[in-house]
Order: sequence, then C-alpha cells, then structure tokens
Amino acid sequence: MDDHLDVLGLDAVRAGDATPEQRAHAEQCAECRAGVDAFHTLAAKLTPAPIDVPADVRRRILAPRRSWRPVAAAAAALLVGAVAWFALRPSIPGDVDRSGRVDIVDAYALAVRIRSGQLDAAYDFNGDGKVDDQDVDEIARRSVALR
Amino acid sequence: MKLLILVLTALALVPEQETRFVAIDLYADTGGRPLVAWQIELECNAKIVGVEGGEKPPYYDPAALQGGRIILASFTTEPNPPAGRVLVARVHLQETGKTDYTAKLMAAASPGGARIEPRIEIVRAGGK
Repeated sequence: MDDHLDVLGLDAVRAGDATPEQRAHAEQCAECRAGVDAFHTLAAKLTPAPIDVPADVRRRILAPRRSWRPVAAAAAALLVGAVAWFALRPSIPGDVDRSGRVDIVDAYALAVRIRSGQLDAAYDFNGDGKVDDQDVDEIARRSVALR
Repeated sequence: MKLLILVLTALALVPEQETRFVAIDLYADTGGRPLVAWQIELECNAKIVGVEGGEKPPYYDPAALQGGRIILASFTTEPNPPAGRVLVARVHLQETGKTDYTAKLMAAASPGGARIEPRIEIVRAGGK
C-alpha cells in the first residue's frame, strides 16, 4: 500500500475522528496500524497523572462562591447618590449661588428662582414647609445680621 | 472741698460737644452695569437712628440702631434695574463732635447673579 496515512490521519484514527476510508486503510495496513498504536502510547504518556488534591483545598476551590456584585452595585449606587446630594444641596444653608457665603445675592438668586417656578424644597430655609418670599427674607435677614 | 470746686469749675469750662442730626447718602457706582443686589457695611462713631431706601427700605438688623455699625442690603428683580451711580440708601445719624464714616462693599450683583464690585461713596445729604 503506497498511500499511507499521514500523521494527522493516524491521530484521527486514534482519536476516533477519522473518515471511513482512513479507518479502512488503518485496518488493512500494518504499517499504519503500528503508527496508530504508537499514537495511542504517546497519548497515554501525555495524559496528566491525577493529582491528589487535599480535601480542604478542593472544598475551597469547588465551593460555590458568594457573589459580591449586588452588594457592590448597591454600594456604588449609594455612593453616587451621596455625591449627587452633596453636589446639589446648598453647602451652607442659604448659600443659593454656592459662593461659599450667605449674602444678599443669595436672596436675589432665590427670588429669581421662585419667580421662575423653581420651588426646590432645599430652599425652605425658614422651615415652614414652603418655598416662598419668606425664605428670601430669611436669607436677607441673615445677611445683614450683626454678629 | 476746694478740690471739688476746682473740678466742677473745670468741667463747666469745657465746651459741650455739639450734637446734631444728619443724614448721609450711600451711592454705588457700577460703572454702567445694572445693579440688582447690593450689601454694604457702614461704620461710624455716630449713632445710627434711621434708614431710608429707594422703592423699598433696605434690609438691616434693628439691633444696629443706636449703634455705630450697620449692614444694609437690598435687591430687585425688576426688569430694568438701575445702573451707573445709584443712590442705594440714606442713613440718619446723631453726630457728636467730629465723625468719621467708612463704608465697605460686602456684595453686589448684576442680573443673573454675576458678582460686581461697584465703588461705594458716602455723601452727606444735601451735598454732591
């Protein structure tokens, strides 16, 4: 037989992936059958020996891992919310224009917001549950208070 | 007894300091920019007895009356705020002797809340 199987063909026969023609050839050709046997031997030698893994290591590796994703997501959402709240709230009560101090310009800024319909509860500086001109007056009074 | 008479005589000879009621005007010169809010601190060695403003009286701490320090402030949301040299307030005082005044700008803004720094002037009412 002149048309022997090549290396890939021999290994395909060993692994059971060969075509019917390759299998038929290997059954009839002693030289190729020897080659297939040699691949069986090689494959057996390359198969890793089982490792004796200590039970506690195996348990730790195979134990179902607790997922931290929901906790991390909640923490991240909380952090973003806190940052947004700190960024948007007046840092000093009455400091509407966030200049770092409370003065008459804040009263003006709040009056303008009220006239344009921005009634954010954060501007309820006198704590009466409403945002109106009395909050503006409250800021103005704080601005001129002698300390 | 002689000493007491001497002291009383000396006190009688010291001229009594004149007390008078005056008014000073506070101006904010914005250099042409519209003025929507202002806050000024006035200090003097006279007694502050009253405050007048423009269309509405400025904000101030009533505790400032009868003292020599006051913070005045006002704002407007009217569409055409004043600009240039703006008379912002008139302060009535009781002066005794020589009186010094200092006025300090604490805050001022143009429409939109843009902070500006107008020059503050003190003018005795009736002056220029």
